[in-house]
Amino acid sequence: MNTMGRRVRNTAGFALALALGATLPAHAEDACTDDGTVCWTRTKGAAFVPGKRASRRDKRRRGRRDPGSLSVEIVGGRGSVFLNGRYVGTAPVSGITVPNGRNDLEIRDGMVVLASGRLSMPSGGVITLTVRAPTAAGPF
Amino acid sequence: MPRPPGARILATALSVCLVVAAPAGAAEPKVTPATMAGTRGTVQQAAKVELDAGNPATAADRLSTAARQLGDPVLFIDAAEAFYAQAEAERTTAPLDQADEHARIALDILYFLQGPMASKDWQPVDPMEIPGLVSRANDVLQRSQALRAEIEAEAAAPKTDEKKKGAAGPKVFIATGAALTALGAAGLGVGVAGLAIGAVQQDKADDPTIYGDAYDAVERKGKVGNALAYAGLIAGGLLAATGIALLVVGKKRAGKSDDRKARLRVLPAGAGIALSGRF
Repeated sequence: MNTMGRRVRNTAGFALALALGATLPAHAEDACTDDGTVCWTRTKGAAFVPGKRASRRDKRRRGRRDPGSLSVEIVGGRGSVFLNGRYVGTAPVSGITVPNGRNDLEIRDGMVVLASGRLSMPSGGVITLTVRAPTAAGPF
Repeated sequence: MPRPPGARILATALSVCLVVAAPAGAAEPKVTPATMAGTRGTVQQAAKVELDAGNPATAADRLSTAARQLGDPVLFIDAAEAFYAQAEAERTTAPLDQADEHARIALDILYFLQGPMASKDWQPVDPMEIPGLVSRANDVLQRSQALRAEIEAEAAAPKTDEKKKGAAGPKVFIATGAALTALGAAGLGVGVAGLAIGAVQQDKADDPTIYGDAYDAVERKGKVGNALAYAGLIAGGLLAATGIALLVVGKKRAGKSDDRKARLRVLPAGAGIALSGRF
């Protein structure tokens, strides 16, 4: 009887913990590149690594289930966003669907590349990139 | 506004094409210059119908929507040119902002396609065409800049005319004022002369040796002198006062900085008033 009661309490505790975890909002984190030209707010460990590119293996492993979402804004300028070698919009742009895994991202204004690198996107991740144009002065 | 015949069919075809040639990121179909040319042709045909019907704004919107969905630099340039046509027709600068932005997006894509990050599976234009398209986009930007200056100059032109009209006012005031003041000065001169005549004739009338016909003649001249004095002083005074008032108003309107147009001085000169002016 005691064993049964303990099992019921454990199951109820597990269910409560699961419910709380599901209802809590995903924790957002802020980060910037070393040179401070690109900053981002992310959830679930989404990350932008400047100067890196996705490998062939990364491209094969990209998943389309529960994709992530990308938003881009540019401070003090303008630019277009290219994801995995394709045009996806011109900043400010939000809600760009991003496959899970490692992706190639480039943001450019004409001949000037504002940001270029590898975007790691977990399932259902959300990342907002803020890029500072070369003409923009001061911090974000 | 009635739609041109066939516009509905073209619009439907365009919608189907846009769905089939899905934008980047959905199913990521392979895009080659040939596949994009087919989709683009339908969009351009629909836009041409609107342009020929004199609706550059509608054509620009359609081209813009398709260009954003497909990411096609050629359609971005087409949209930029349609927005330019709209600005040219409406003589407003707002569509030129759109023209510039679309031309810049086209340049973003064209330069990206020449870079290492471009995907082999997404080639909306033949690499050989890129230099020509870059020139076309830059040409739109240059023409847009020239048209913007032209439209802004047109908008500023009526203000210049108003300024000219405003500048003509003080001149009229000053010229009229100077003329009236001169007439007033002459009237005052006549009045002073009348006073002098009256005084002289009064002296003669007071002379006891003058009597009879001579006295009557003196009296007559004295009355004429008095009449001249009254008329001259009153009329001259009124004219001079009006003239000076007009001069003051005119000078105020002309403004302190605009002294090249009229420089007026009222100077005391002996018994009367001397007015000197330069126009």
